[in-house]
Amino acid sequence: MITTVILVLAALATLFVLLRLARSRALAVRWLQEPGTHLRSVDLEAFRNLIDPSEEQFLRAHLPPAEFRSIQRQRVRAAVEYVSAVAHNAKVLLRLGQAARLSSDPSLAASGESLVETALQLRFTAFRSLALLYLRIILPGGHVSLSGVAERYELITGQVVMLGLRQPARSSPL
Amino acid sequence: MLLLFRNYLWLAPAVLQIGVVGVMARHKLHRRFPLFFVYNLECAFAAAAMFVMWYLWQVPGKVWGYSYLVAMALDTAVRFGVVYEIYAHVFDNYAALKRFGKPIFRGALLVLLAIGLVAAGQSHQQHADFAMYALHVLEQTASVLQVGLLLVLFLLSAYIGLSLRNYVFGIALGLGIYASVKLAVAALQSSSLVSSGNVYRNLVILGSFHFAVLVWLFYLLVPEPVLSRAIGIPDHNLELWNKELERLSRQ
Repeated sequence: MITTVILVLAALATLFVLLRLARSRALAVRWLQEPGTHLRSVDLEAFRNLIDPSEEQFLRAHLPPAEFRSIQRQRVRAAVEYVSAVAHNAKVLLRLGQAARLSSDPSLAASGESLVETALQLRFTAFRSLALLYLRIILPGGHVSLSGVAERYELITGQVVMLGLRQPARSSPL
Repeated sequence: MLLLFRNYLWLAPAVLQIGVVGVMARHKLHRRFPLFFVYNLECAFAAAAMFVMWYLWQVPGKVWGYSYLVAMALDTAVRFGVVYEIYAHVFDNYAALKRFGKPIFRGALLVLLAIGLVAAGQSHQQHADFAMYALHVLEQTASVLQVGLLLVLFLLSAYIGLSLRNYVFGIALGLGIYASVKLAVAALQSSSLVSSGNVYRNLVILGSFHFAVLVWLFYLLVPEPVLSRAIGIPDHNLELWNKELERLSRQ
């Protein structure tokens, strides 16, 4: 009887998830109309500063161990916020790229294709970095290299600019 | 009245599936989804053949039962092929994901197969006829696998942020709805809460299949959203975009 209940609940939960996804898909079309409004602001310089090993060494050398650990936790939490924003932006740009690569204009489609690939890589890098950062909150002593996030984010920024330049009708003041 | 409704649910999906086949052929989608194309043809043919056997030829119950079992087994096997086709289509579409498609499909299949077999082992249904018992176990295990595989695909795509093409999403959604309803019914049947001959049970399964075919037809006909206007970039990112433009112009 327990198996029956579990299977029936699993089937109903799946139906619910499928119908929710169908609804969110309809809403996702709106993203394409104004994708920029869904992007979160990311200050790359501040992020680089947070993950800079020399900054960390400086703080470690000049602060008492307890204070250093406390400040380091706050820095890692701030880095988590930045990386989460990058992962979110990568998702928005992934959708943008997916729509662009269906364009009949070959150059726009090619820009969309490379945007999709970079956005996917950026999302994977961001997921990995988030896992490392959460590990760092638990174990503040270790060192984590997050340089890939900033570099890929820079790369994707360039690709979005190129995609914007290839738009046939532009309203953005770029 | 109930009989008329059942007959409608029996034949209408077959007619609509001919429409699905036509739309697929028109958009040359049968080249991308050959198994889904075959699945629709097979279902439409099987429904028509079973209907003729039942009403016109009035074949003996045992012959009809075995024919139903063969049709069901074929239907289930082709449906697995369609699920694999969906996986292959989604993952092969992205260079960064290509190498993950097969391992994810195989891994999920193994885990779900174990779950399905455990669930089948818990079945309390009493069957004098081994063929009917085998049919029930096959239906339940196949439903567990198909629902699980489609759920893994949908959740993974949503988490990563992949937007599936309309027809891929539609095929997966229709199959998912049909497999979920079949799973719930098979589970109720395994506890003997519903019998295999229950008219409402059959109506629910036929109705869910009808709905699935309508979903396929809808998503095959609805146009794909394509980027056709300028990208709106928020003010707080303008400085960043401009810096990037300067960097690009220096290159």
